Amino acid sequence: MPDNDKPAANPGGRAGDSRERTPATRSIFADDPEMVDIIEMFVSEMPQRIAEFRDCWERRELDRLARLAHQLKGAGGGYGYPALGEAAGKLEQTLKQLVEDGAPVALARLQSEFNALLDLCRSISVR
Amino acid sequence: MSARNSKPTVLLIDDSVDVHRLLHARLRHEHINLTTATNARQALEMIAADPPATILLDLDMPDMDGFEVLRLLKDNAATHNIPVIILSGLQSSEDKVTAFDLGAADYVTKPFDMAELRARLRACLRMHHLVRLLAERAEVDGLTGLGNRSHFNKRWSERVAEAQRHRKPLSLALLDVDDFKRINDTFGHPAGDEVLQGIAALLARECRKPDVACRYGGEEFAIIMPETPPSDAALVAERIREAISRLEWPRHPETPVTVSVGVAGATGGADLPDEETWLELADRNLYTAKHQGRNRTVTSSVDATTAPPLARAG
Repeated sequence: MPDNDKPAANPGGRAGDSRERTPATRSIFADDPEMVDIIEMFVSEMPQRIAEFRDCWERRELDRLARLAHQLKGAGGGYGYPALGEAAGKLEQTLKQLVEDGAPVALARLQSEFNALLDLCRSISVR
Repeated sequence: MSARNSKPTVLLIDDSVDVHRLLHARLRHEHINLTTATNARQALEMIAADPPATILLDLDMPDMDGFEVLRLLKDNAATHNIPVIILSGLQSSEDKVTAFDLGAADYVTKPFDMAELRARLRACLRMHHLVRLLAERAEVDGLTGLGNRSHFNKRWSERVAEAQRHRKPLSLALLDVDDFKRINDTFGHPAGDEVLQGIAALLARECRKPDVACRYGGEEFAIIMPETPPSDAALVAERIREAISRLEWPRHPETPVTVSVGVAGATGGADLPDEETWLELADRNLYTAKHQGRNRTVTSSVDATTAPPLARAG
């Protein structure tokens, strides 16, 4: 992903192992006065978004899940959470392979990407 | 276009409300009026109601994708000149090629580099402004600021078609400056130019709102008067003719300027002649006015072209 801003405050925040407790992920735009209001809104709405993700997952609504992931992919980087955007993009890609191409996707992989994304979602904070 | 304020309208079409908020924040200091739509249908309605100066268009939307929206916009004469910047998470060069082939002005990938998006947006707005200016310039007479002959031809043809369709009244007045050559020869070309500019300013001032005044040729002007029967058009023409004769000219205060006017109009109801025949009739009345001694208006109705023209002299 091209991103000119350095992810300065994202120590070890790679969406690798979902079992690890991810440390708080701070927005790289937290000090940008024109951004701080909408980042706060983005963070405050995150629990609702997580609930939506979980709901889709439990109902196995993969199309809707792919769309949520797609939207988060676009938003994550924009709000200063590039790792979040990347994790959402990864999940979207895997879901697309499954839904559109009918490619055999290991459920374990899907589960792991889903968990990684939700961990990241839970970890975000403004600063 | 968007006359609400002087800021150009930019329409963002993206199904993600997060992206709306993001761009509202990031484009807050740009000299634009940002409007948003979350789906293609809503966007197309907004575009029809108030065409924006630039569109930011997401490719991946659930109901109708961005390529389809782009195709619709470029197929429609009313919208095909609006620059469209594609915003997309898709990064394949195939998508970029498709977008540019469909007529996109630019392509920016998500997550945005905001400095880049702002710069590209400004470039698009600049281009749109210049294209519009060019289109306007092409129909504006450089000396007087009135519509030129080409502008007149378009408006006249539209109005005649409309009057024919709805059997509405419509009148046309042709004005020609009397002895214009003598003014030029006696007081010089700058004086002649001032006369044309002075008359144009008076026409712009004195014409009623729906009327369209144009510079038809050298020292000839045309006024299209929609929904005006010839009897009313004659009154408007007379008022203007008199006002012109009372104008004061700093370069030659002792020499007033007069015009002769030929009016041809329809009361509506009857079958109407084509735009050419109509124009010829107005021109013939103008010639009659000149022939009868200038500084007068000659009016006739196109409904009954055999009736003798009605002359009013000043």
